[in-house]
Amino acid sequence: MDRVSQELMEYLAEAMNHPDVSGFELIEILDIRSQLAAREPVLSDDDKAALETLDRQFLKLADLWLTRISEVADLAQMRKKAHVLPSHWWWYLDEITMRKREAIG
Amino acid sequence: MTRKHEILPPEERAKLLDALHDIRKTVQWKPGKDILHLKKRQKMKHLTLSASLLDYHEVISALIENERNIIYLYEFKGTHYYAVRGFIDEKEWLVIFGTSGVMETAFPPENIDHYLEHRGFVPLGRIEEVLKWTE
Repeated sequence: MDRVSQELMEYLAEAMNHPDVSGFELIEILDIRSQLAAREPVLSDDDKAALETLDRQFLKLADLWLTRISEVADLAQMRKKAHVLPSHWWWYLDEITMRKREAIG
Repeated sequence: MTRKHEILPPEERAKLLDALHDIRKTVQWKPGKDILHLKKRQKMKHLTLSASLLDYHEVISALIENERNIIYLYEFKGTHYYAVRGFIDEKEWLVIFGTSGVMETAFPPENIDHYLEHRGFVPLGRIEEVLKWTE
């Protein structure tokens, strides 16, 4: 893995361990995940597997992250402002959480 | 052209000045959040593992005290937050705090320009300019 991707992965991994900080910080982690997405073509299969593990961890925390972020921002508006790609699912925590709640009933 | 101070009505300008004065007096966090943020800064290597809360507060105070630093406004659901950006040891930090001067966070974003631009932070000017609004 190249140095920048490694640093971003480490940053993301460590951030996962600290979800209980200000939503302002969590929003930055969404940016970091987007930066990693742009580097996915140069990641090895092992790196991609490591990223998938982080993504699964992230999804488990979706509710908590959404709560924190919603205290300071509207994700739908953020997506619009940042011209977020539809494939960048981590920016859709609101919709993911809503679907999850609907599925649970 | 709208002058920078006209972005905020007089009562909101007064709130910003109060918040600035408050945070310059004491760095205050929401209950229990100070240690959480310090631990994260250490783990993310933004501060050394041996850094204390006092060290973290010194970073925050240095950023707020430097009147050349730029202050931004961020609004969400009618609540105003303020952000000050500035360098400490070649690393650019962002301090975000609320209307009562209570800390939201202080961290060095990976890409501070991208962060501020895409989140809707509005630059108000240098701290020294904002402080002159009372004159």
